[in-house]
Amino acid sequence: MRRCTLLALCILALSTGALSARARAFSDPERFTAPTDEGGGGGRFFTGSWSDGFTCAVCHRGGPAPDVRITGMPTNGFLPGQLVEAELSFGNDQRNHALALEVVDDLGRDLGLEILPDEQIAITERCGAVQGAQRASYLAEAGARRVLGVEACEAKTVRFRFRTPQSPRIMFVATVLASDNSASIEGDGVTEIAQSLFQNGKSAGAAASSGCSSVVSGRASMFSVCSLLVLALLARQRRSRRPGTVA
Amino acid sequence: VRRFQKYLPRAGLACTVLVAACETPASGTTRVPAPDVATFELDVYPVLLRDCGFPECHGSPDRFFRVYGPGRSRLNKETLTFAPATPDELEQSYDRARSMLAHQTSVTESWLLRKPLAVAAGGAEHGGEDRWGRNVYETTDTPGYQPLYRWAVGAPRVSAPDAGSLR
Repeated sequence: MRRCTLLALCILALSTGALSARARAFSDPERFTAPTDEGGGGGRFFTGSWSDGFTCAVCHRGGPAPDVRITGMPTNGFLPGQLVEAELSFGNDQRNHALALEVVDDLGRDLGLEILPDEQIAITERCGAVQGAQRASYLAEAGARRVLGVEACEAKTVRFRFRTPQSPRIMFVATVLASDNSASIEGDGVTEIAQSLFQNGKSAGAAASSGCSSVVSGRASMFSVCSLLVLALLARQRRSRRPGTVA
Repeated sequence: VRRFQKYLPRAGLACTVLVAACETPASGTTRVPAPDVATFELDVYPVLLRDCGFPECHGSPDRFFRVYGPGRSRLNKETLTFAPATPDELEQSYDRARSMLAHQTSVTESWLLRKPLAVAAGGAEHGGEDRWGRNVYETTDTPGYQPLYRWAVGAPRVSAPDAGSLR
């Protein structure tokens, strides 16, 4: 009897541990729209878009930024009404990846972003990159926004479609998170992508960064320069005080 | 470098004190309002969690102004990430938000109302810009700013504050 009780307690402890590890995840789609006082994003998907300028990097930190490859984007210019099918590949390492992305026009409006029908998606777009497993991607609508998300379930790629608008410029933004599966925000890496695409190739710009935004990076580098100057001064003072040194 | 890093927090504190001292008129009296606690918990706290309380921002122990709660930094590390806010977390978040309302002339000059607001709209410099270099709220009419403002100035609570859209 006592052995049974012990076994039951062990099973309970293990299942509670598993549940709490799962409950820590912020990759469940409904988590982003849930009220903040329930631990949700309150409408933030952390895509880094014009209407949602913070990214996963406001929480996750400490790990190397994941490598992300984008194919299919009309980087040499687009024609209005063109159907674009693009792919993001992000599974080059053993870590677990999640992402959120948006494609918007000049005014920040969604361009009718779509994910591919289930029968068309590749194995690498499925959880665990396994045949027959559930798809990792989902579409979430929040007001006028439409966000494509990928759950952290070991998929390696995601494909999506949209039709180019009449406006001269469109913006593609994404935040890709590589989790170390520690069920904490530590040890995770973030890659932020912002790509401007222009009609008829008038001009083009692309930016991919990791961690903080370029503004923050600029400040960080200025801080580094200042710190180096201060350190150099301190070192010089110390050297001049060192016995045997000619001042 | 380690030796230098050791003094960084103290240097930061000293700078803060110096800046505060420079901005304080010698004869001024600092006032710290005590706005309604219930309004804070219902209208202000959710907005602070959504827009400020991230672990790299005002959920960080490196910052004076901190917001604790579910899905963000927890006051007690043993608290489950998504468990409801504890009374201590609500109290600490209220106290810190309240202390950010300290002012000498008008509460609209307080850090809580100026730091997250764009400089062009009367705000102050703030490290927490988004990836486009923008402050949290672009104008005083931005939905997220309104609950902070109304609470700080003691305006009557509106039944359903519109804090829905992000910008």
